[in-house]
Amino acid sequence: MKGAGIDSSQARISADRVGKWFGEVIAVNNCTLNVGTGVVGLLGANGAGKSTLFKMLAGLIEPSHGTVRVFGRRLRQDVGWYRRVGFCPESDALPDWMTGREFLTLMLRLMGFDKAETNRRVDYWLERFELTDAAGRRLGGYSKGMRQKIKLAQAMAHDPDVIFLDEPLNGMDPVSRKQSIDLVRELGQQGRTVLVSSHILPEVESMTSEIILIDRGRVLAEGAVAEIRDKIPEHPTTVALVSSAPRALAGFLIGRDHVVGVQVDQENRVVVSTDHAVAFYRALPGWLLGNGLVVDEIVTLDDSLEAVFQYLTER
Amino acid sequence: MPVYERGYTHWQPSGRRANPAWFVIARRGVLEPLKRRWLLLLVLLAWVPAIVKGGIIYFKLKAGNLMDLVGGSWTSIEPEGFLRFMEGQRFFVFVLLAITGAGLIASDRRENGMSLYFSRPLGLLDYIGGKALTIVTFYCLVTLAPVCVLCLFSYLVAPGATGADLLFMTPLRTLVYCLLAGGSISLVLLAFSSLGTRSIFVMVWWTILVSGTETIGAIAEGLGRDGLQAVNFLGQYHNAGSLLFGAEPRLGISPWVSLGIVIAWTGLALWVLKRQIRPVEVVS
Repeated sequence: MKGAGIDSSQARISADRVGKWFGEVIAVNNCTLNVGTGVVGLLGANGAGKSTLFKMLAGLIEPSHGTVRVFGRRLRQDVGWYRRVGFCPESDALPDWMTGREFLTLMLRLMGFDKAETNRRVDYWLERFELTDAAGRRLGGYSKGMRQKIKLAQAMAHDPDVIFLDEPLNGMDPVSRKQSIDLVRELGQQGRTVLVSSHILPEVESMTSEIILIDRGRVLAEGAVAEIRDKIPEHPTTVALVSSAPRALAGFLIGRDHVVGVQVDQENRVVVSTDHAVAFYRALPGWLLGNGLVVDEIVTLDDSLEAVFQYLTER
Repeated sequence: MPVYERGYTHWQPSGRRANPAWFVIARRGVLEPLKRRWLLLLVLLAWVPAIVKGGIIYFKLKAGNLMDLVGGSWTSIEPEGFLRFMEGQRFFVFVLLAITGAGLIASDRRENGMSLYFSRPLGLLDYIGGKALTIVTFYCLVTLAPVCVLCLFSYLVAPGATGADLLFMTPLRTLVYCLLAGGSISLVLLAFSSLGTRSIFVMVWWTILVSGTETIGAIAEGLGRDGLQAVNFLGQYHNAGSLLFGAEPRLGISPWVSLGIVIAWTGLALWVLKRQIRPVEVVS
């Protein structure tokens, strides 16, 4: 089953009413979520509890209450299942005295691979992240982007089914960023579960439309961005209609069902606010055909991740 | 071609590992410092007393009792002589372990090691076991290994003298002693290492523990305050070791008291390690 917000019996990662306190501070509060296959973004502002929840899901922080399961198991009590899990930490700290090759080799040997298989995988992943030339250099001499790539490589090199990536694109140059985004999408398409934590909306948006939105330690929403958007009735959806006769179209739309506002913007697009996007989209073709109006393009302006994020968090 | 398209099969949790995780950790911990040439030299230097003792044993056989003037423990091929030899190695034990062991956990804490290690199929025992084995290996390299070589050498230059003891009992006693003492010392050093993120601070605390307590112990001995010798950290191991080697106690306190102190140290170290090294990250 794909994406976030699925039934718990089909989930690869599931959290049931998990919470975490640090002293008197509640970092995560009663979160329940389920993640299936594909790429899912765990999204939240800094301090929202995202990192704590992320590490709890990866079995690296024990919840104060509730249970987290990956493949239906509690990872820390059944550590063998970590062979099917990859984890890329957010922190930039790495053993600077190791070379890139030594680091990847150690990480794979800890996964239980023999020497020959380890070497094969190390060669492949160094090549895939274009680090072959730097393989013999110490990690201390790597740029931030290269360190990020070697962290990603260690999370993926053992061919895991569930991959946790914490702020994976930090410090990468545009080319590496594009390559990494493509790789994450490729992994998702292969039926792996990739949970990407980030506070950068476009970064997540470029990888997936499936999100889990967290704010002040609570899961605000989970699922596809458009679906979540439709569930926010108090904020009308804004649609831009591109037409050769914008003023006629605007005049016609005023007062129609589910249309709460109409204006023509600077690009001569008709910007419509609707309180029921689905009903509006259903009715629009009939209105156009019946009145001889033409619309060349429809653009939904605020079902972007940023808009959804703003609405839900009231920021 | 992506690695996934090469026909790799997923690893099942029941799958056999090429090497256990603790072995992988220990192997890395031992091999990495040995890349430094000066550390190799230090290890070689730690073998000089063994070479000297070997030479003395050889010449004793040639020159008879004359070589006894050098000193009993240097010429002795009795079990007690080898315990004294290991006691004499304490400077090398102190320095070598400070260099190789201080950063074992501190560096991991500083370098993301905890989340990288514990997002792999290994538990707390694998982690601590691997790190402890690293220290025990270096400990044995300057204690057990030279004693075993000396035993073999002594047997070869004095055949038939005390063959069974030299070839079997003394190495066995030394092995048991080194594993127990080395294991305990490694846990104490690891506990210090787990308390910080900087190796240098761990080294300072290690120096205070080893040299500081030895100095206090020596002062207490001079003042005739036997009870205070209980603070001598490494001294307790040698004193307790006299039980195993059938030797005279080295300190003014019972070897059983020393054994109790060693067990208490070890227990305390394990408690600290369990608190500090959690498979889960400690978030402040």
